[in-house]
Amino acid sequence: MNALLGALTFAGATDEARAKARTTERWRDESHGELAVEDVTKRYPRGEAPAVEGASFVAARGGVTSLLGPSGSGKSTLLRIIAGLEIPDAGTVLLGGDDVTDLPAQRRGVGFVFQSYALFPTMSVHDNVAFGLSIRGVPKRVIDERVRELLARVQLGGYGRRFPAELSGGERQRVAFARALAVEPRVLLLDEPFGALDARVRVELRAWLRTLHRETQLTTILVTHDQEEALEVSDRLVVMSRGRVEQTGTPEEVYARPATPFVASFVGGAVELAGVVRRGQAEIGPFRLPPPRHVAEGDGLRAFVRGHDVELVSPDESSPENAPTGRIESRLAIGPSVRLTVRLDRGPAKDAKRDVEIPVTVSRDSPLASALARGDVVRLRLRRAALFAREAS
Amino acid sequence: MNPARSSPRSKMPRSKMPHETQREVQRDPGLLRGVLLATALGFLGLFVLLPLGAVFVQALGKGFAHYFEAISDPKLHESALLTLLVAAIVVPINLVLGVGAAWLIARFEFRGKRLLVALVDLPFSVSPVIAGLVFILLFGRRGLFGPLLAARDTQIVFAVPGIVLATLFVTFPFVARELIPLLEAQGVAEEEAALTLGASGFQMFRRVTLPKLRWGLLYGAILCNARAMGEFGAVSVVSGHVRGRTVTLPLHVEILYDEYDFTGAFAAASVLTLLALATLVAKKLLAWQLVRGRRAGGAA
Repeated sequence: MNALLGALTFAGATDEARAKARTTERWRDESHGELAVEDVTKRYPRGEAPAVEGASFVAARGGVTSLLGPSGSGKSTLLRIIAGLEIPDAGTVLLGGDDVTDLPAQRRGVGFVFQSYALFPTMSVHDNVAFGLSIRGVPKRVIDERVRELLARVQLGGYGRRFPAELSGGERQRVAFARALAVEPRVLLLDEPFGALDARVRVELRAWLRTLHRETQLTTILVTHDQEEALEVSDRLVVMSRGRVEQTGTPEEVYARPATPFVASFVGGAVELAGVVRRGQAEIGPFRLPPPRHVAEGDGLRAFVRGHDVELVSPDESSPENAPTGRIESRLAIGPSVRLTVRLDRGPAKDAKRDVEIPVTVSRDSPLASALARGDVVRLRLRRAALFAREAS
Repeated sequence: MNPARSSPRSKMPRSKMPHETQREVQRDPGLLRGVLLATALGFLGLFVLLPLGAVFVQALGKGFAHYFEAISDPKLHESALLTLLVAAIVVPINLVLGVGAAWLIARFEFRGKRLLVALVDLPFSVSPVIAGLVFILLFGRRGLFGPLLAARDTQIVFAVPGIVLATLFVTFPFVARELIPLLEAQGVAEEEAALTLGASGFQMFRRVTLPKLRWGLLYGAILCNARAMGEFGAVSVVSGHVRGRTVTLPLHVEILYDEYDFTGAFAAASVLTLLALATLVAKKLLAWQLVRGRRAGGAA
């Protein structure tokens, strides 16, 4: 249970940084990964804060690794550094075990897909896809064959003679994928590839990307600010904020055990509540949870609560413990689930200076959900929360 | 930015707006439309077509025989050849310089960039006569480099090199001015894509950047050529009017006019006009070629 509480303090995060360094070392020895970034820093001339600061991660061979973060978190810059489109001020980029930090973009053998597609507008679809091969002096016959294969792979067979301006956004981006794949890159770098598309096409292309990846088994780095996309497509997440890597891990690990307050608030749509350590327990409003490690009595806590972490207590339950009551402020039915906002009764907690509102997500099918309406009084239990010691300020 | 965006001078704007709606919204009162149209056509007729016609009417005023005699003048041929020679030297050089300057300004951040942009415009902002005088001050007998040139027995002003230099200076901004906004609007993603696909810097430029710039280049070259052939002020100052050697077509027109040889002057003017019209036709043909190369119907 303790592990589920996701109670890592900052001391824990440093441990993880050390563990990460060890992982990198091991990777170098056994070359389990295809791509590694070590301690990369990039500062733009006029920016005060560095765009990327001390970023490190390893991408496993044949996997999809997502760089996830809000805009301005440095994820795109980091991807461009990997591609050789930006030169880092410090740090190393390793491709297949070789240091490529000083290698120009032309010779890195990476495939890059841009959010803006960046197709060559003056060339036909065929010539766009053929570009990398014709640069390499591949015979025309071979090129034509390969382009046909690739267009079939991206489900655009027969589109060769059209021009980019005649295609829809989704079609253009698939041409861009084919163009990047044509040169048989060692890694595929995707910079918000679906960011310019509408929601439905985005979901379709996400599924298509998974299929494509299953067929090609190409090591892929995906930059995205869309956590749903990242959780759905990738084997590994690298969560970034303000130029730093906040956490790396599988989507499940990151979701279940956020390493930093930023990750806890960014992934999974959590609400932040204030808490305190009292009598050996974490007090979050009227709730009690086991405290995180490395905290002392009286320490302030930051608690991140997701709607799924709260459950409704059945009114039949006798002598409910640690289950305060509250009034439903709003009720939103979103597809299969019902999202409630509950304002907790102040109760005996004398130091509760303001009302606590808490999100509750329940299944639409649950007998409780259908009966509840705005204004009803419910009893809640907090199953878990991500807890962090409040930094002394 | 939409990457499929074509040149701003696209021949075929492809609006997706339903035409009915558009007409509803954009419908002007008939009277206003008529007045505007009449004004535009009247202005064009008065200030473009009338003078153009007058040139030919005057040239042919004394009959075809006189006209043919006038345009058979070897001096006219010499000046026409010099004008073509100057344009043939100046336009390619300014194309290269203009592309370079535009590339530098649009794609790089550096100290003094604003100064450079201002300098690119300088030839437009100073009078051509002053531009010509500057070259006299530099390369004239008593100019800065005068003694050096005299020692080597080279002449720049009052000779063809001076005319070329003055024309280069005056027509420099056309290409750069045309390309800077184009390059700035296009961004660099396509160039970066070319790099990641293995293209060298030159391959990227030749196969990705240049094709995108072709319309701007074409217009820049046309404008540059028109001005190079028609430049009077700066060339007049550095030419020295050496008959048969440093007299360009516009200067020739002036000389004949000053000598009260109106038929000759207008005949020479008609040749200059025909050269300008030939340039326009060449542009049309080239544009047609470009569009055809892209398949009819594609965004140009």
